[in-house]
Amino acid sequence: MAFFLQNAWLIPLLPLLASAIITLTPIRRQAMASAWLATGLMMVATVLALGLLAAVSGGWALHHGELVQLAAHHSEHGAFAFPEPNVVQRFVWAPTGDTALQMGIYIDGAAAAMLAMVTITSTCIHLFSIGYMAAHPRQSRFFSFIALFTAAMLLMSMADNLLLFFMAWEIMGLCSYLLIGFLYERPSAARAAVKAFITTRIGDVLLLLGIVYLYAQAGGISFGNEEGGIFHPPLLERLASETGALGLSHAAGIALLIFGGTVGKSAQFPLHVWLPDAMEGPTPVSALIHAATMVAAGVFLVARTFPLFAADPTSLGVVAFIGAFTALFAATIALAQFDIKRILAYSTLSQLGFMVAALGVGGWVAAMFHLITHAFFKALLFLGSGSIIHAMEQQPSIQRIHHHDEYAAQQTAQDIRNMGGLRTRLPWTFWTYTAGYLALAGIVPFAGFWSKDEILLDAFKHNLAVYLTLSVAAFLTAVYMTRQWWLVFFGEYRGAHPVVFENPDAPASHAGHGHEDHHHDHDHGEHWHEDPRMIAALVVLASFAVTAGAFNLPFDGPGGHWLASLWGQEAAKLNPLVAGLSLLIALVGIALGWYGYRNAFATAMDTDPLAARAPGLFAVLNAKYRIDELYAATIGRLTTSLATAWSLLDRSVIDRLVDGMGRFTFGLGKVNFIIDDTLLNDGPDGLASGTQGTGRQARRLQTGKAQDYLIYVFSGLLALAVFWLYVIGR
Amino acid sequence: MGLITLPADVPWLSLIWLSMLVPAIIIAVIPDRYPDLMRWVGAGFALLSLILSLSVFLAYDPVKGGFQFIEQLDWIPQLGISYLLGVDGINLPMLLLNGIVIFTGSLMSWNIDVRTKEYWVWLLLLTTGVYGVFSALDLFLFFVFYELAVLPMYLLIGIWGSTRKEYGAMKLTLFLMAGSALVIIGMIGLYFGSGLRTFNMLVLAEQGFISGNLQWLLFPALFVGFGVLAGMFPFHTWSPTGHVAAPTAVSMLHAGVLMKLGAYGCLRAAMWLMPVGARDWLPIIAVLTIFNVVYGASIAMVQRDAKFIIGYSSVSHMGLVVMALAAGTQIALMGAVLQMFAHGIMTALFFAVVGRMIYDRTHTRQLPELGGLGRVMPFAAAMFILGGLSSMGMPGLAGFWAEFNIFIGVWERYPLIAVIAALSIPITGAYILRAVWSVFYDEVKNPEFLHLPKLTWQEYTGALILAVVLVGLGLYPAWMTELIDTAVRPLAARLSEVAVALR
Repeated sequence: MAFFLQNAWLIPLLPLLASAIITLTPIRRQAMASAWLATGLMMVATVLALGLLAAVSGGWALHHGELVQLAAHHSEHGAFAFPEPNVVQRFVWAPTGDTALQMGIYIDGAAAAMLAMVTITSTCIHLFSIGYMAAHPRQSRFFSFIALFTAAMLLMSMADNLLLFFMAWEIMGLCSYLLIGFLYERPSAARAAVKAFITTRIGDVLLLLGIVYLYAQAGGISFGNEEGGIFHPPLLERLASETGALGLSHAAGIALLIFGGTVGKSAQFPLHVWLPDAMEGPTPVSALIHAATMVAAGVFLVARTFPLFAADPTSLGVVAFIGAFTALFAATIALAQFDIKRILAYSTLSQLGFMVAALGVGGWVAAMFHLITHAFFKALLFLGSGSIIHAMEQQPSIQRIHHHDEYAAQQTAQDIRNMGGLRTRLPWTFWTYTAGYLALAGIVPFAGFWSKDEILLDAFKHNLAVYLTLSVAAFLTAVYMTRQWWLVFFGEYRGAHPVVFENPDAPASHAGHGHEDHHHDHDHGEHWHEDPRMIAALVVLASFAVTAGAFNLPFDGPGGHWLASLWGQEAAKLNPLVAGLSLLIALVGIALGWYGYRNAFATAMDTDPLAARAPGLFAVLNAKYRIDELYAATIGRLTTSLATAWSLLDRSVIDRLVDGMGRFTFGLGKVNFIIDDTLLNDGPDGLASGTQGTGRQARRLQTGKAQDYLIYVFSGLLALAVFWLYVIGR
Repeated sequence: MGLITLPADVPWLSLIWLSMLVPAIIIAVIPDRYPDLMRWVGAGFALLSLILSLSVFLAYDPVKGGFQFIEQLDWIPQLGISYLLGVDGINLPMLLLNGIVIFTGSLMSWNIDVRTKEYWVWLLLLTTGVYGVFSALDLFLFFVFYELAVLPMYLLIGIWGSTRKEYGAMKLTLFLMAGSALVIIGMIGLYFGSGLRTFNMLVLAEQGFISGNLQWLLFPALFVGFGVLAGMFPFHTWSPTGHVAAPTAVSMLHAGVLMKLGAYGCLRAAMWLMPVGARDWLPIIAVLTIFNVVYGASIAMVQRDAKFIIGYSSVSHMGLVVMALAAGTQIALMGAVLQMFAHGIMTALFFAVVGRMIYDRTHTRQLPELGGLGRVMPFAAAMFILGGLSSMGMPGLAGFWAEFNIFIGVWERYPLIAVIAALSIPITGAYILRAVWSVFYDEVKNPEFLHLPKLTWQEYTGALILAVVLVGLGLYPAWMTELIDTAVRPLAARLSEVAVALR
């Protein structure tokens, strides 16, 4: 046990090492070697993380290097508090003001669970990527980036202070940018990468200001309940009782600024716009960064600093509102999308909203529980969609239409209208995907049921409005997932005559060309293939999607409340009414989804049943409420025009003004200098040589000989000094 | 104890600036037909000066703190002018910065083949002046070196520059001259106002009693006079034009070091000597710097010339320095000095990439005409991105620590200003990403750019040195912050004491 506790710091170091080796050594020229190196080191990190989790759940801790057993922590009713951490290792990093900034690791139950979840999903995604990225020329770089990302995510999970947390957070943002834009030959990918970076950066700035605010108030930013830590109860009391700006207490001000970081990173409304576009990245990236880990980091941020939020309920109210709103809002959009990845992306937004809302109503355990189960089943769904897209792209019918445009081919391959009947063609994918689907829809006993039910229970107990909103969102989740699952796997395969994606960035001739080729489609050869490395990853994740609910079953006795006790928090008992209702909601949603779509889309060109019934509503949802357009028309245009106006102002007004002044002064100076030079320096001679001499003097000024200038300046200075000293000074 | 020990009886600081003056003289007598010899002499002595600065940096004893390596000689005793040099935790990093930038800058000057001799002489004289300013503790001497630094700049831009070089050179010189005029007024005022008739800053700071009213009058003269050089709004317009017009090494020195002279002057001459004036004026200056920071950054967003982007980015980043000075707390001052160093290195790297590696090959810096250069020169792309990330405040690079300290420090005094200034962070991200994208990753606009000449070893070496410093400071800032702390701590205490005592 001591081994795992002492060597916890190795967990983020191993993927970092993989990234460094791939980037810096010639191994990068061997794509497969790079891939297996990164995957192998991730597996070692997974073993270490699981060992650490076992040690922590056994109550083992490291105090001054000695292995000790922590007393079981029982949270009293009322104030939220973290249990004592199991490992804290710190060292001085840089002096800042009166205190020295320390860096280190801080491992408690929450961190250990995060580490285990991140290493497992990341390993699966590494494994999957070996198959998925096999044909890509920049495969080594891809593995270097995802390994670096994983290292940052792991470092963030075990950071001992907000600054280190923020640093890892920023590196994740950078990796996210690099990986969304990984296929940078595609203009849409490059645009999406920039959009993601800038949008999350707005949240990051708020988070940074929150850290700065906290530092200015508390004099430190280290985690911990003891004096000097930011969870020290007297400090929290003081922050909650003193009023800062806008009539908010310091605690609320700090918490809301920190929550700004969450809104950006976890893509909550109104900064949600980047996440659907981020689907331009390769699918393993969507699974790793934009479903399982990085976007959940925002939730973890609130969870990690939860005592600050709990100190003043004002901030929790905002958190609950934003979370619940996002959960519902994103679920409605997901109803009317056709891109398999975008449906999952909106689903991710919605599920993150569930977690955020859970934190807002005080359901810390429920939020973290859902974070972990969601990571498994959403990574599974994304990888499943990757397997589907990978297979679809290989279809001759699609290849033929877009034979020069890889991007358009992929977009056509992602359209669920073009799928259908894949149940028999991709059986492994079908069964694993179904496990993920049932988990997301909330069917007992799959993982999502237990965690979502716990969120609903907390909302039910503390805030009925949030409960109702989340229930509607849960219902819609079941509907849109059933729609997707049905259209993808059942019915007839429609890909022979697909809805063709028109690439706005490609030259117009391409799309037309594709149509011309379209008539001789007698070669109906379908080539379906599932890569074993991809299947292996799917199976591992599917097993978690089925069983992860068992980590925190709402029953007493062996196996019950395991996560709650690991995290030292109060356990939630099963409430048959809430659980029954949530299961009923899910079943009704599935039934409705099946009923609505059972006969839909005989061919890919058909109209969506929802669009047939409510075309206006469908159009609004399909256009994502036109929020992107709204932002572009307001904030985007405002910023650009302001910047242009300022640039003009700077060049024409300020510059001209200053130029004019300069010219005037220079003219004056020239006159003075000529007078000075001729009268004082060359006085006697000057009188003799007359105007001609003056002209020569003036010309000499402009010869560009700097030694002259130097002499002039120095002698002028000296003269000035003497003048002041002996004439004015007396 | 410093990390190394240097013999005490050697005038180290004089040696540093002499190590630039001597090669200027040597190169002046080298016959014109040996341009390579001039380059080797110039770069060799630049390396020597870097080694000397680094040695002093390492030999400085941070436990003892205060001014060390003091050299004092009477110069014009009748007027109270002395040759007084010394370093503390504020100017020592600046000396090191200058050493790094001149050495890497001289490596980037290898391709100058028009009037090579003159170029090197002026470049080295310019650096002599900069080294002198950063080590002088006598106001008069400070000013003499300062003028020595400004004048060669005019010629370097006027003769070897590009893009409206005469205009840029003239504008720059006029602004700096106007600043100098203000500085002279301030200096003379201090000389008489203190009643001590001395230019010795140590004496002025310790014994001078300058009445509150006089400080109120003189502080803006000195602060704004130097602030012009730091690119303070609304006296900043010379800086982007000057950056754009200058040849690469001069842009590097100009944005990398010369603008720091201004900020350093504000700190050393204005704030240190006149804390009362500082108390009254700094809030107003803090408000002005918002324009630098946010306005400068957003202008950078719509520029088409890559050098203008860097130029306005310098306006924005130097605005953060002056903003931190205006906050005047210990953390803020730490951030200011760190930012001076970090920005100096980062912007030197930018100009090395854009000016030397790209412009000298493509002869254009217009973003719409470039594109796809990442494929031709991945090294240049990597270096530019590294500088860009530091500029955005990415953790692990030097800029992050500087900005983090600045934001904490400014928040302590003016929370609202800190919030507004934070707007610049996403804007910076936007313009850097735009530049990176259009220069290195967008599709290739001009097929000739696919066959550009390879980078030379000088370019690799120079850029790598800058990159290593950027990363080194980012990963482990303590090697510099401990040193800076010894100097800003008493200074911040002095500023706050006065603020308390006279309230």
